[in-house]
Amino acid sequence: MAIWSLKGKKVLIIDDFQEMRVMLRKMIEPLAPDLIKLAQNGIEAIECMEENKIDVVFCDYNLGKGKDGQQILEEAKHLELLAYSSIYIMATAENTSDMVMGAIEYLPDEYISKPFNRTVIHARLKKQLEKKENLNEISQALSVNNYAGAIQLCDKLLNNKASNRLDLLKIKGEQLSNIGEYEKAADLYEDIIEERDIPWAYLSLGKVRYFQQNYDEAIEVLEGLIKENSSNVTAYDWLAKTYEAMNEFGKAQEMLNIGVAKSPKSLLRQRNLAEVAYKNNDIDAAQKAYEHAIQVGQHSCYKKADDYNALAKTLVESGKADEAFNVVEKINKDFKNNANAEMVAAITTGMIHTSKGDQTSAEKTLQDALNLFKQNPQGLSTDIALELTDLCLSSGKDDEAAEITRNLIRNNHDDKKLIEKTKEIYSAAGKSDAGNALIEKTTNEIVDINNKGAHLLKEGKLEESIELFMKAARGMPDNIVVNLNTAYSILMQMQKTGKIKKYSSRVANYLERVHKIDPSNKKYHELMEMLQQISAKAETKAA
Amino acid sequence: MSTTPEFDYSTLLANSIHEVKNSLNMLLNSIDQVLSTSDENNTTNKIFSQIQYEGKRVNDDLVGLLAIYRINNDQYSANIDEYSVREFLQENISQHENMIRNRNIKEALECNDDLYWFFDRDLITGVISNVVNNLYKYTKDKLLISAVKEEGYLVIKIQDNGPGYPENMIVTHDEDNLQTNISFDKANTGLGLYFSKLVAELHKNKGKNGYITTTNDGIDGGGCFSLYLP
Repeated sequence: MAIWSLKGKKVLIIDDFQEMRVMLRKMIEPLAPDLIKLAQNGIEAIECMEENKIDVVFCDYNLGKGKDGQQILEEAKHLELLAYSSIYIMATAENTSDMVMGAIEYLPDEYISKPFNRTVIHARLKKQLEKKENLNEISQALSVNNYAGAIQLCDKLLNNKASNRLDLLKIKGEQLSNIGEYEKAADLYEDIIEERDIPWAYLSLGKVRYFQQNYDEAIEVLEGLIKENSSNVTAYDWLAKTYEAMNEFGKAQEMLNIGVAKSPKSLLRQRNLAEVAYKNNDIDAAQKAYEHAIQVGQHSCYKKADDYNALAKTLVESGKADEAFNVVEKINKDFKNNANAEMVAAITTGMIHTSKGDQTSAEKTLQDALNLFKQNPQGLSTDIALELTDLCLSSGKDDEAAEITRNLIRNNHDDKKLIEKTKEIYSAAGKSDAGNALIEKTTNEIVDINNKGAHLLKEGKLEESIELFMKAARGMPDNIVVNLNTAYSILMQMQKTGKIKKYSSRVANYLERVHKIDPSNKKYHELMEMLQQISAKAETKAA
Repeated sequence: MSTTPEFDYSTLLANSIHEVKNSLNMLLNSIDQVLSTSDENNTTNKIFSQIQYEGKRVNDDLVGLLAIYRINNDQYSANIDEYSVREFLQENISQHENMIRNRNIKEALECNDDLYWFFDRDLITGVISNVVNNLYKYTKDKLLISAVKEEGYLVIKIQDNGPGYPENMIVTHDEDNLQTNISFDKANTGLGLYFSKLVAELHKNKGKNGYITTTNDGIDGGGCFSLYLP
């Protein structure tokens, strides 16, 4: 048997009991890692990961006050502090499947149940190290968003009768979805299911059907899954998503209710429930869900002041305007030194004053909000931006409203729902004409830019078109079409000049922006493939 | 499923068990440290072994308790994954190595390297732990764990060369592989066998579910616990 060790690796141990930290260190020391760091809570842990490139994290799920093990993982992944090759092991006294089913995004690599001894830890670490090593090339491809490359590597290993067949199939399936090859992904999952009723294969199949917009099929698959595994919470999440896409908000809310009952500690899930309940006009349920979201999300990296604003709104709409003021106080308490939160607090206060008919106070807080807005105009979420617009219009600050609206539309000119909402706000303020005119003008500006750029491209004036698009992208960084066009024109440039290395990361950045906003965007997939092809050709030429 | 909480037993159980498990973990690991640094079969170590043994039984009961509560209340979603059976069984045996050594039990593992199967690792660990901890008291000096694939099932057998299972602990199953005679009433068999039954039945594939049997065709007519997983 090959001798193995943690040589060259940096380890972080996170546990709130000092005796445990010491004991764990004793267990891991014999494996000779380069470094062992200890942390007793989320704050220390994140700090440590910021200062060191940690390869192995050993974390207790329950850490008392503050972040729990899952939340630390989420924040670390969110802040990109952990590489694909890093190992995250979570120790837990509770049923691990709760955690697997409860987490929405990131999962640890391994769970260890308490009590455990040194032998078990060593065995698990060894297994994970081997796993990561087997998948090393694939991880590297994924870290540069080379999905097609990752798929090819998976196939290569699968053809060589790999022992981690299922892991490879899981990755391959995910990446097929990422590049939009949904039917191929579905086939992959169906083949697995032929052999064995594996829950994650069913779940992934359901997700693929959702992305294909085959909602009826998605529901069939997901409901089949819950029949056998009634506590699979993630299945309910996706059922809710599917019903929402079908505009069946009542059913969506039902699914989320079940999910939340089984796994209440997820901020994202509570927030989803609140939003859907609100769409359903179930203000009471929305209020409760926002309250829960705020409560369970105190230490989560997904925490947002927007939730407090939304809660205040539900209170105002239920005639509890005074309670709403308490929520604003909570924003100030729960977010320290956060300019965005301050702005949200001001906007929320203004909204409450307006609802009580107190225009004078509303205008005063509005001025505060606008001052804060000027300092960071890009920091607003669309919902808050709409709130602010509303406030400005009711105080007669039409110019300020126009500026906010312009910014909003520039970044989202394709978003029909958003445009509808904006029109509604102008209409409620009795300024329909001005609103429509502004929206049209702004939208036309963007259409013009895109047309101009496309024209330049057709005429072969690549440099000019790139310059135009990049400038536009700076001004409206969230605009999907502009980002895609920018990426496309740079790709043309790459093809023409053969200068690959210089530009390919730039293209990847623009495409990544699109991917973050709209993961299933078809054009994104096409351009990603184009990027891989151009890069691959260059490599074969060089070789 | 009700969304308005009456008394939240689930959280009570989870929190209490968390605390107890933390203490247990410290306890068992401290004893482990003592035992693994000394090879002597002296009185002190024998006592420590006994303490460790009882500690493990407490853990088994805790795990069993929480799992039974959750499974029966529809709160447990089996976390099925693929594992190398040999590696898994080896890991399990190593959990009991001190005990095995201290009683001079000759242990053997029969399982092919290329046998991979699907199961909930934590739950099956719990089942095996229960059986081995029981066996430890009754076996003469042998322990044999084996695993084979048989007619679409993974069959894990744990055999000893003790006096065998008493009448009230013989487990059978009907055509649908549902256990017919396990209940809480029988003292000393209640928790362990019931837990094992629930865990086995939680494992399903293509319409078949898992089951357990206890027979007396083990080593030299000793006990044999068999776990069938589809």
